[in-house]
Amino acid sequence: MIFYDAHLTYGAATKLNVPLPKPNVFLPMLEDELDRTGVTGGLVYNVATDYAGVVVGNSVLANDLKTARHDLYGVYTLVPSYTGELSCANDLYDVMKATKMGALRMNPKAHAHLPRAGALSDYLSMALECKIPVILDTACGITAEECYDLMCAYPTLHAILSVDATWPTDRMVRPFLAQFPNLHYDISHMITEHGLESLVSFCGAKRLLFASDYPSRYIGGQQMMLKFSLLSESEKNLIAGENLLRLIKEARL
Amino acid sequence: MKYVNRDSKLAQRFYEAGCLEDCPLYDFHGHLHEVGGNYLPAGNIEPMLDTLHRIGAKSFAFSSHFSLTGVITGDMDTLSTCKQYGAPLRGYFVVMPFLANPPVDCKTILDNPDVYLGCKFLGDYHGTPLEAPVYAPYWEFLNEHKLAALCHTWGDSPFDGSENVRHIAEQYHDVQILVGHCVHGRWDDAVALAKDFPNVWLDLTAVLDDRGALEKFVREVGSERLLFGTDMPWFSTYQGVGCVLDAEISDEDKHNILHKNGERLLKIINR
Repeated sequence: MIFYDAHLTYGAATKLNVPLPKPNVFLPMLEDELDRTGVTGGLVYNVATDYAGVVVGNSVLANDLKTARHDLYGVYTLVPSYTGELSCANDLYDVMKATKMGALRMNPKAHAHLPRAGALSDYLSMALECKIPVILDTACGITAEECYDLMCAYPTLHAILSVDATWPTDRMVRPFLAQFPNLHYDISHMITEHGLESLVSFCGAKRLLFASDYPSRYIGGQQMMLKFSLLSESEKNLIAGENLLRLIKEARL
Repeated sequence: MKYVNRDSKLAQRFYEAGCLEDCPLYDFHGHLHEVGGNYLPAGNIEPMLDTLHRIGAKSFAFSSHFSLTGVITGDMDTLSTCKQYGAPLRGYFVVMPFLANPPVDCKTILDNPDVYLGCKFLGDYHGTPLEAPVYAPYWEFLNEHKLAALCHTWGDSPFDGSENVRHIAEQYHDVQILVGHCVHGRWDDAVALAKDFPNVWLDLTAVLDDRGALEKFVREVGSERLLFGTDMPWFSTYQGVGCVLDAEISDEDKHNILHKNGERLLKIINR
């Protein structure tokens, strides 16, 4: 299996209440950890973006990616365009392509904007048209209900849903997978016994993305869970990395 | 490419084989069947046994959700499942405060030494502090017979927080007290309990999803009183093992956590 991790972060401020063995302040430190655990690449953002600001955060990430491994893609943080801080929707695709960004994200709480589709409609329309994955992470200032409302407004959006709950969330997640055909589920917090097998029987393996939420969580746990699941080898390969690569490829980023 | 943990030979071997004779698994915290609130695809015993056999589990000690919720009175679900399937299944007798019948319950435990390691206390869920009078006969019994007690514990709980555990540990020195979830989030309190009381064990169930707590425990307490647990069918056994293998601790520590400590604990309680 070749692992691509859809949920990676680096930066100075991780969860301060968790005694991480060592924070990965700089991107090369994260890359060392990817080497240690056998992860080829993935999607990453700098956590400082959510307290230092989106302009500097996106810029630092873009700069760091210049010297990073080929298979590591950035995640560009959005705020509503009405304040004119970021590139406008028409220009953003080119900016993302030039800076090796593979997906978009938001943190409405951290950046004090409405967690509604209407607040980001120009960017979301562009993402829909260009098939750029938009990450909806309930750990990032948007509730599952708000994610659902946003998806109802853009039901064919290429989205990556991450639900920040260790306890099984199938009753919450499965309606998303059933109703939104281009939504993918990041399994970083999905650690239920036989949970992968059950989800694949529900929606197939093409909708699930290997993810760890490293450095807050162990990469090796997710690797062992996937490798020794009762899925076929082709299903495991899809989840381990092929699905994420397909998403990035479809966006031609 | 090496996966899980390039620096651990044990991790490399486990990732290749999925099961190692020299590293069997002792899981001290499991459950059985469905429970309100969540969908558990492996809630029944067959898929759980499949995983336990595949990963080479020597012992899996559980308490049925049916017993914990009282939907089926008594502890028959845990007992009958253990009797029917045998090893590696072991059980905890669930102490239900509102159904407590110490003479009968303690006799059931004594009559089934092949099943019961001791009792399970779920103070938070039952709204009863560990030191409540209703539990006292059970603590006396466990202390007298030198058995184990698995206590659900959680951060700021007034029922099974660190002060409740401390109260019990100060009083009962011959019970092996398994601090389930390590007083979740209050990692310093868990460290202090393990340092202060030689009969306290830290059960890593639902701790391994926060990277770093395990390394802290090994650094500050040592690995000799850490026990592996999964909460299965809640959490994946392979995922839990993978977290231990990934952790930045020595392979000797990993062996302690995955099986050696469990082997030692079972000898202490003569089970």
